[in-house]
Amino acid sequence: MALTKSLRTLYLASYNWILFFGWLQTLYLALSALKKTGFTSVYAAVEKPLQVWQTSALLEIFNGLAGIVRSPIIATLPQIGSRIYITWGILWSFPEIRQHWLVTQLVLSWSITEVIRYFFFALKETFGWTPAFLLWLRYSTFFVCYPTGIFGEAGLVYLALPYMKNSDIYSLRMPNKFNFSFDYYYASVVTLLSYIPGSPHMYNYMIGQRKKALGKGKKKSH
Amino acid sequence: MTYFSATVDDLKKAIYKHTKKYYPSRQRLTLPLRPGQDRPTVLESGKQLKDVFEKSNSGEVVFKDLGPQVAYSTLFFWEYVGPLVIFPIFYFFPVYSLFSLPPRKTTHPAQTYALLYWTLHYAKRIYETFFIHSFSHATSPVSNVYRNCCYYWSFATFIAYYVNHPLYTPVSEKQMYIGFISGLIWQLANLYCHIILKNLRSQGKGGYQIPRGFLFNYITCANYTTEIYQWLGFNIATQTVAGYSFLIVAALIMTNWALAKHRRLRKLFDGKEGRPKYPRRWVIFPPFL
Repeated sequence: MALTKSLRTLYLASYNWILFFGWLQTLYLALSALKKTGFTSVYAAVEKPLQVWQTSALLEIFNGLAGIVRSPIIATLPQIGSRIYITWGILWSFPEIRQHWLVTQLVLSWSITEVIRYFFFALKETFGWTPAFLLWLRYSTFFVCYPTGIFGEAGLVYLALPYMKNSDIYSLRMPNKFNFSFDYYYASVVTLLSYIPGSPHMYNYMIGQRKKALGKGKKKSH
Repeated sequence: MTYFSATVDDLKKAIYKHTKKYYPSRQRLTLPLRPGQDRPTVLESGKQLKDVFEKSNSGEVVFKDLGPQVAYSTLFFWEYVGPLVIFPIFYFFPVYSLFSLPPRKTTHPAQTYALLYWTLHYAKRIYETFFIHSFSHATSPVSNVYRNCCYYWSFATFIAYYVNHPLYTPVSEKQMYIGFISGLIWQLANLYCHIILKNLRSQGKGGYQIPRGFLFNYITCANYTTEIYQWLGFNIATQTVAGYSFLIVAALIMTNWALAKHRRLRKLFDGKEGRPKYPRRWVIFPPFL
């Protein structure tokens, strides 16, 4: 039905434009704080926008499940999961690590990636077209942003570990009537270890996506 | 052997003779995909070659290597032997010292009954594997052994850890008995379902039959239904998040299988050309599905 198609386009275009500007704002605030007062002040400057725009990405899981977009949720779920974990479970939960320079590295990696990505989708939904240069950017900046972002994430989890152990936060101890226990510290250690096989996997996945996306252009020229 | 009566199995044997690596159960032979087909026609065991190539001009066969294979009974054995051994380890041995926990001071009856129930369940499964089940395809890829064992053994460890925990909190005695006793009844029902399914296979030569008798008169996959209710009984009696999460995952997997089987049977037994029509039945969970 034409109506559902236009509603879908309107919804997706709005979503992507809002997030594009949201992350642009985050990037701007990060860079200004960096210039004015240095890396220790970056988190304080970006906290609220970062939390809002990163958490909004949960909508993308819904979009995948509802079939509004074609992305397989098996790929988006771990991506968004790790972002939410870092934003709320590490940065918001442990103020002690917020002044570290890794926070700056993280925020810059995330916001540069997201600005490009959301701009790409916003243009696609609104005009049905994106400039070739933007496509190239989207599938090339990850070569730098993935390693810097991943290192930022893993580094911050590692820095937060001693504070987790001391505070006993987000943990459930036995005995209880559900006969269940959860230790946030150990869960985070396991998560950190999962970055070891997980990161090359994600990186290779992006390389594969890049070949698919940029390879099409090459094929047409024959 | 005259060439007029050669079968698919003879062809596979000939391929095997030519290349020792490809033993027959590893081969999948199909006819080339015809336009309009989304799945190629498989050369089934027992079929005569002259029937297979009836409509074909070229006599061309597509070969696929399914990878190293193991017998289904081997696969099932390794899946089940893990849980059978792991649970008693957590009950009898001081493994909790590895987690800086003191050993159990008192053992609750629920924990002992859980041990008995669990080991009985997996012993029953192994027994059924070798003495009851009659498998349609003789083999399964070796990679399934690793995948399935991961599933069974991980969940077994997860559940065994919490049920045998020194700080385990049991439910009321009444609830415990209701859980274990109903579970046992469902296990018996499940065993009977398996016997019925086995007898179905021995009557007709291969192919599908409409299951009949006992709960099969009402539910297509009564064997899965009884299995799930049996786990429900165990969880009502032991009450752990670990146990319940296993129940949910197992139920989802079996429901998936049940839907496929139900669909297949309904498609096959459509009531046309002298075939019986598949009766109206629940798939797996009356009155919902």
